[in-house]
Amino acid sequence: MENYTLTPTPKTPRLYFNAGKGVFEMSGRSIPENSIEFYKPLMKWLDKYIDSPANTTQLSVNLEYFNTSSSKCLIEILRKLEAIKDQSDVKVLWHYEDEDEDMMESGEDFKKLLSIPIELVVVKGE
Amino acid sequence: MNVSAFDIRDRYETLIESSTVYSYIGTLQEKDFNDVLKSMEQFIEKHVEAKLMKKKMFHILIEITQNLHNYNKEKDGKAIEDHLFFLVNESREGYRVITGNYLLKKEIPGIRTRIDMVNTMSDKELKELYRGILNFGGVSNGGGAGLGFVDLARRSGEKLIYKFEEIDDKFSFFTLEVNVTN
Repeated sequence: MENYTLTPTPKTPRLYFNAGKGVFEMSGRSIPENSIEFYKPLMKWLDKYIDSPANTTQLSVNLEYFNTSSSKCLIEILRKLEAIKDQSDVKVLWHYEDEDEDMMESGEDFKKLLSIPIELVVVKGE
Repeated sequence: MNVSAFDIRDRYETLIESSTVYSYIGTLQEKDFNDVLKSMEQFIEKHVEAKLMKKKMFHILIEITQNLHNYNKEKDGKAIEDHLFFLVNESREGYRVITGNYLLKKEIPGIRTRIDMVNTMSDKELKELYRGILNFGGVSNGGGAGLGFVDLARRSGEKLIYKFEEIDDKFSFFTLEVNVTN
């Protein structure tokens, strides 16, 4: 299965989803006007991935901003990973910048709603 | 629609003060929207000093303008006047973000109920509500409909202030004020 990668834009994140290694990364901004449309190809890719996932699946989220419509997509992505937790060792690393309480709380929101390990990781500012 | 009876520019100008640091009046079509996004970023970079306030303001302005953008897009072809405004005034504790747009009168009860509800909630209750809506699943047409006001209330930490002005039997004008404090 091919990897799914996307270069970032001022409104959309960098996506790097490596199927063989089970290493996934999202970074940058996620503020597209139409998040559903933007994430649709990734959702389709994930549907294929979860049919035969790698032994470990680690998603690293390192977002500067995301809008509320992206948060709906994020939970869908995380739910797909939750669905394979018996076949793959799933882990999510949720990064937030030091003192950015809003971003930390967003990580807590997802942590509260999902049954996969979500680790909140502080990134020290420059 | 009897737009001539209602002067959006007049409302806009009444709200412009010496403390106004950012303002926009026009439509939010795709092209306008990208320009607005750029100018908002420049404004924040230039005027807002504290790093966390920069983030908060950017987030709130993005949410607000996308709500307006999506709202008007959904109404395409339904002959709603799509002129709108939003502006940022400096306040003693931070910033006042004010938006104004036309809407269908029949939508007022729903909006009023949602804002009134979030305004009665504590931070903890807002957090619970946000999580509840997020958990409910499915993705709404507007993208994030349902989360917008909750998110604004949660991030600003202040009550949302709003006003509806009747224009005719079908349309009203909606003004929303979000106070963003340090």
